[in-house]
Amino acid sequence: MKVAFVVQRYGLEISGGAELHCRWVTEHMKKYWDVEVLTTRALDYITWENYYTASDAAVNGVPVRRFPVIKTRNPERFGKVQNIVLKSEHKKEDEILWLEEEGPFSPDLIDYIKRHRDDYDYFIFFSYRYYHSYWGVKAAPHKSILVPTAEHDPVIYLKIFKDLFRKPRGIVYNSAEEKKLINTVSGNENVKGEIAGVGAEVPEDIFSKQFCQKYGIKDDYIIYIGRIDKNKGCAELFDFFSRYKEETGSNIKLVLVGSTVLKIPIHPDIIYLGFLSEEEKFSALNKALLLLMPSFYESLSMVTNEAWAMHKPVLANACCEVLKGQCERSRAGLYYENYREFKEALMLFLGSSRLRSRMGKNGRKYFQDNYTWGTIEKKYLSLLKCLEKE
Amino acid sequence: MTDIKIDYDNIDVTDIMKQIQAKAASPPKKPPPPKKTESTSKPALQIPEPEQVPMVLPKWRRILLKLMKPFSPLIKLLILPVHHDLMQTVYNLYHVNKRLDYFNTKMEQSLTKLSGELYSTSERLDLKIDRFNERYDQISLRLEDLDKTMEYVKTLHSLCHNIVVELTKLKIEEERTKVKIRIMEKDFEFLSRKEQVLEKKAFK
Repeated sequence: MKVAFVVQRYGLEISGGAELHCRWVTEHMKKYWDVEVLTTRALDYITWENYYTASDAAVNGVPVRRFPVIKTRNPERFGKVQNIVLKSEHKKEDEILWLEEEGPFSPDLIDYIKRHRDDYDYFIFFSYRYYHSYWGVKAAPHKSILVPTAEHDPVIYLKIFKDLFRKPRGIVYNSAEEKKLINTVSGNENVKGEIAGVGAEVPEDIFSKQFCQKYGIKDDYIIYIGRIDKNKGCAELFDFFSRYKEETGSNIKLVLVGSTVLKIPIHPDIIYLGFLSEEEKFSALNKALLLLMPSFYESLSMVTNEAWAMHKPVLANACCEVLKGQCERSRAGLYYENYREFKEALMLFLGSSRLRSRMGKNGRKYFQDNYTWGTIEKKYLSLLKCLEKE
Repeated sequence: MTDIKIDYDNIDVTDIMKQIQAKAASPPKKPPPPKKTESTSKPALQIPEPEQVPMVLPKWRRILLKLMKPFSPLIKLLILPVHHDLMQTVYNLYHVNKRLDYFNTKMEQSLTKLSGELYSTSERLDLKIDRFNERYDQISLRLEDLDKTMEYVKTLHSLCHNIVVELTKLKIEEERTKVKIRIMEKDFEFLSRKEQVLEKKAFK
């Protein structure tokens, strides 16, 4: 079976988001199918400027076809069009224009799909909101599988996407909440769907003791891993943590891992470690009492899965339906909507090692049942098997 | 420590969250309001004023009193022992005066004693105030040092922050460079293999 994975960017340089999700799935599925990646030459997701020169390459043994982006994104123009489609009355043409402005505008990629749709059995499109998915699914609807990686943001309510979610043969969702959201927005219950998500692998070498010695961390700590950004709920987290420390006098520390676009407040108990290697990241996670996940919008939190893989409970933002749902299903995390709930939940966690250990075990089980690569691979295989039978 | 009930064998996140939300929603505990006294809660009892019964005198007595009214001061003077009372009052006043003199002397003595004590206390207080002032100066100096140290700490913190940010950028750059090298190595391998094949073909 020949399967093409279609994504906006592809390469070892890209270390997160739907692109990494796509690469991991592709690399794991290559043992079952004859896989190929169709993508653009872009590396920068803001401008989509052509970066890769070669049109054909191989990344970790996967053949990759790259198509040029013929129009880079102009953030100012894009902002204006986005304002029109999100805040005022508009036509479908405006939304199509918005899609073009968002990019990556690569008509050659769509032409290729049109011309070669008979050469492939299936096209798996990643990220619903970009140019390649909308026009790609339209080019070969009967062979299309969409992995939307959708979050509950205003863009999902655009009319063009209602149409898009009804078009493909199958949809691979990241979570039950994402499926519910897309079903509600588009009424696409008749499209075959599978909830899969993405797997995680825990490195073999974890040196928590050495990690603490290296960074001089002696006390117990809770951890946040990810981009330190206001959009990820970090500003609110800093505020809540400082208030918690003031009110309770607890000696807990907050360790932050990841690159930052936010000024981190001066606080003796907030320790910023910056970007860490995978081994160090897992070592840090292993020594933490719990993982904090303050993000408002997540399609699927990879780091939450990693925490559960490491037997760690999670304290998540309840405003994110996906995280809340995952905490309830896994029985491995609590959530908060405001400071008082944050305080009570954190106090409960820090005061009960038994609860942490129990929830850690539940998390590990949830991870093993749902997010090991074996399980994810089976879900993709079963979806395609189902489609073959139809 | 906490009043949240958890079934550890079968953890129910929704149930725990309901308890947490209820606890978070309950208002913070306030001190109980002061108890009101009964007197304020009940209306005050009013003491009934004694009834004033008009005194009615017999007619003959009223006439007699009217007739005797012009002679009343004389009658009073003759009836009351004024001189005796006056002498008694003078005697009492003399004794009161003597006691007042005695108290005056005693008060003067006490005042002298008190002023002596007050003087010694004020001296001791002055000494203490001097010492306190010295310590206050020392503390002020130390506080100034502390302020400086805090400024240094703030500067150091922002320096550390900037260093971590720079290190993060460098690490990301390093990872990228590594990846690029790996890609270039693979390209190089591919090209050398291509070269070999082409060489073979060319020499054939």
